[in-house]
Amino acid sequence: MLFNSAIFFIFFGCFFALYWLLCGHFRIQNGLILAGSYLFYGWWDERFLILVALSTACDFICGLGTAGPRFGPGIIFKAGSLLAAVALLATLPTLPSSWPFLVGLLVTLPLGYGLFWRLETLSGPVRRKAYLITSLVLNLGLLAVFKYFGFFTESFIEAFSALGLKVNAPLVNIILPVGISFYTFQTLSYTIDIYRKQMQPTQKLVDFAAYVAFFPQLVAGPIERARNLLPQFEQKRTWDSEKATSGALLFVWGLFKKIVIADNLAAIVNLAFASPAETAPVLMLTGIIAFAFQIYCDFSGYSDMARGLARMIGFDLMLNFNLPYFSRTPSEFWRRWHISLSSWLRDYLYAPLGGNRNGKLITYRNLCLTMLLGGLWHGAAWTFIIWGAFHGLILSVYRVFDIDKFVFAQSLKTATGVVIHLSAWSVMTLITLVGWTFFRAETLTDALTALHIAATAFTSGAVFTDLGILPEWQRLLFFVWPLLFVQAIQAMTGKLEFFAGLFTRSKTGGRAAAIKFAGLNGLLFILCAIAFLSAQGGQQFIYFDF
Amino acid sequence: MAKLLKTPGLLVLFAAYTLFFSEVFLRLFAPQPIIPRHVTAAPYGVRMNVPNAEYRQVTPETRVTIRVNEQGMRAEKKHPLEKSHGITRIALFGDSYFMGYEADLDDSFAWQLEQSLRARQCPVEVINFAVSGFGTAEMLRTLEQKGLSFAPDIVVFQWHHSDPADNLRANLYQLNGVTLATTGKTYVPAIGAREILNRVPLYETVSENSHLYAATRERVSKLIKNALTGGAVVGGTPQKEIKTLDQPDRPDASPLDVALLQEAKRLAHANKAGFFVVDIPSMHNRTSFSSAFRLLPKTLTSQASYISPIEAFRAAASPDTKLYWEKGHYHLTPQGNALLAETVATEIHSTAAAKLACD
Repeated sequence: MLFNSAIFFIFFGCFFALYWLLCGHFRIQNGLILAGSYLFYGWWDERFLILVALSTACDFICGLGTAGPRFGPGIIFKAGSLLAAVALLATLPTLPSSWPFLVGLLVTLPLGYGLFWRLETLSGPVRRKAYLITSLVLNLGLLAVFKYFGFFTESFIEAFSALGLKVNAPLVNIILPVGISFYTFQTLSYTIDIYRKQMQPTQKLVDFAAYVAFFPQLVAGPIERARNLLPQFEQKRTWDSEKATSGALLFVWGLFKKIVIADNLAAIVNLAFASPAETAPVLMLTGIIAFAFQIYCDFSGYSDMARGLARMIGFDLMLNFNLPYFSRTPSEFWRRWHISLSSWLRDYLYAPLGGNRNGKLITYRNLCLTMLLGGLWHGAAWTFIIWGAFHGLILSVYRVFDIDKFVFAQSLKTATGVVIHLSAWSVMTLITLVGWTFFRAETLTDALTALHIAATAFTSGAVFTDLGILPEWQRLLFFVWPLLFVQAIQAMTGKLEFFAGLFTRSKTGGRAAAIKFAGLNGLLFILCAIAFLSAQGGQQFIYFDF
Repeated sequence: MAKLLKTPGLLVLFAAYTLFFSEVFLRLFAPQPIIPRHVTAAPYGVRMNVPNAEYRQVTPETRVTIRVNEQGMRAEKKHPLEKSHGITRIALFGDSYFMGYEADLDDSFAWQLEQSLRARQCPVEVINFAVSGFGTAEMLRTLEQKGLSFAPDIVVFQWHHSDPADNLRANLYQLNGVTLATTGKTYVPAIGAREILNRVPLYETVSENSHLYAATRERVSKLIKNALTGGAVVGGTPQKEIKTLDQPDRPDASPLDVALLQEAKRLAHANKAGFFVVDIPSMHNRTSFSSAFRLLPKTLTSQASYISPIEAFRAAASPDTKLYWEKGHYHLTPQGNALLAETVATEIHSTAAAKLACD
């Protein structure tokens, strides 16, 4: 069920009405969120629900176990019941073809009970660590099997083939469950935070299950930390029309970015990257730039929609994008791009590796390793690994020369400072574009070819003669200018959601009325664009594949 | 905002402003092709052009005026039933391609065909029975009920990839074994709604000038068409199946389509007229086209009476040449019509010389 599909609008309309009818009964609302989220997720493939339920049940127990105090058998029974109920609901309609799932469940449940009973016999720090390791093994195991098994098996076979050795490894075609990278990271952070004593576990299974499967952000983030989102499930939510309006506006803005900008640019990108060796230099250059906007609008559009939907039902999700293309250095870029992932990697990978505490060389190693794994998180392909490694290398180079410190020490009040900031921004933009080329290309050869061809647009001078008249370039500008206009206002005012408050200000007077009228026109513009300029045959969100 | 929505006067003002804004938006950022279709119900159960209608078609690429004579044909004058001596009558049956949508009369296929044959010293009179939206079934019904009364010497049917779906939707004929029989039904889709709308003051002005109206109409008709695919059955054929015929990878034409063309041929021959079928290729891009004849059996399309301009189109194609309009409804440009007319004239001239009284 995509946010930009008719069925989602029907689903959300019904959900929204029922949800606020239950206002004042937040536990029942949580139950409704859980049911709605499972319906939303199961719409893709009901079997995916078993994995979410497995992750939920296991981390619910592990969270309590990691906290320290012992819990009664009722907790394991509750979690096991959730898993069993979801598994039965997901498999019964498709029997007899789904019998392996039922058999798997019959084996898994007693094993799970046995495992947790065994863990409960341990005591002290060993018990806490054992629960943490169980959570890590389960979540990373799910990722390894469902996301990376095929990739590593194929790479293994190819590596041995290159050495002239024939290996017969099992090749299993496993479906990648939508959003698995997001919710596994979310549940992992829950257990780790409890282990680090940064939060207390919840005793409420429904609250926790609703947090894990929270439909606005389940399939493509933001990756919400439990300590931010879970407490919101445990408090009363009251109807706030201003909040709901601002959420709806944020949703509409995200929808505009996705179906008007990203989906229309997809045609240009697909054309340019279809066969880079045969693509004209200016078209290749246009395709690379278009992809930078496409992936930004696709992903940040989804985040905006997720945040908007959550806000409409009384939740606040974290900011995931903060004008990333205004960055002047790589570290600034990663503080602005996919903030929930980069901060997750910082807190749960880079910092445990030692961060910058053990000397320069170890810091560079940690940076490269973190970014490389960050690249791998995006997908099981060498292009993503190279993209991650490339960013790790660039971060290290900037750190070696202390470029961040130098750039940010320059005042924007002097001409020299402005030139330095602009130069830094230009270089960073170029680095970002090179990175995106690896990210988008099908193969490494394609990526290198694309970069080479795009570079010839400059060396041959075609960028000055042919680019302006290229229809794809004109199309790119046509779709991108509203984004640039809004982002210019966002950057100048420092208010990322200035439009979300346009209709909710209590101020009166001529100026306020003029602002409201401008806001009304802006909203009508966006709605018209969604109605009349959206691309035919909507595309799936790019990040659903990650 | 809440205050605004509570006041009826302001609400009306808000709605009017929204409509105005949308119209301005479309004109600035997404100009719509305004291609009205003025059709009404003919006494013989299918659609016909509204007699004496005159309307404009405006797209970002072209602006034309369509004039329909009192007989419901796109022509400047009335065609008498009696044929003039020494003149060969050619009757055209097709949809908006043959009708010449997005083309002025003297750029239309019918006009160009007449000129091309006259340039070969063949005095001909082309009578255009085409109506936008027609499939083969409606063409056949029009030939039976109206066309034959003009005693044509040559009958030309158009064949387009949309015809198989149109023929099923129309449900005017069905196959009983191998025999084609009429269902006794009529097919005049949306005529009732159109006639009600026509009675609304200013409707005509709005429909011929408003980009918002054009965009909305286009989307609503698509929605209705899609909604109809939900298990409905037309003439024994599930709408879902009909929908697949609208897709690029649609299956081949059905025996019904072949039977309709064969019946038209039989009827023409029975009335001592020659019979031709003209292919309207589909455009993929400016240099790539595919023939609609690929949907028909080769045994049929290999006959001399099946004329395809595909080779001529491919030869004339270039990235700078537009044979089809690209910002309207993909009808033929004057150049495309001329090429089609030239191909058809050449074929008719060489294979039906006996029918033509050329000097």
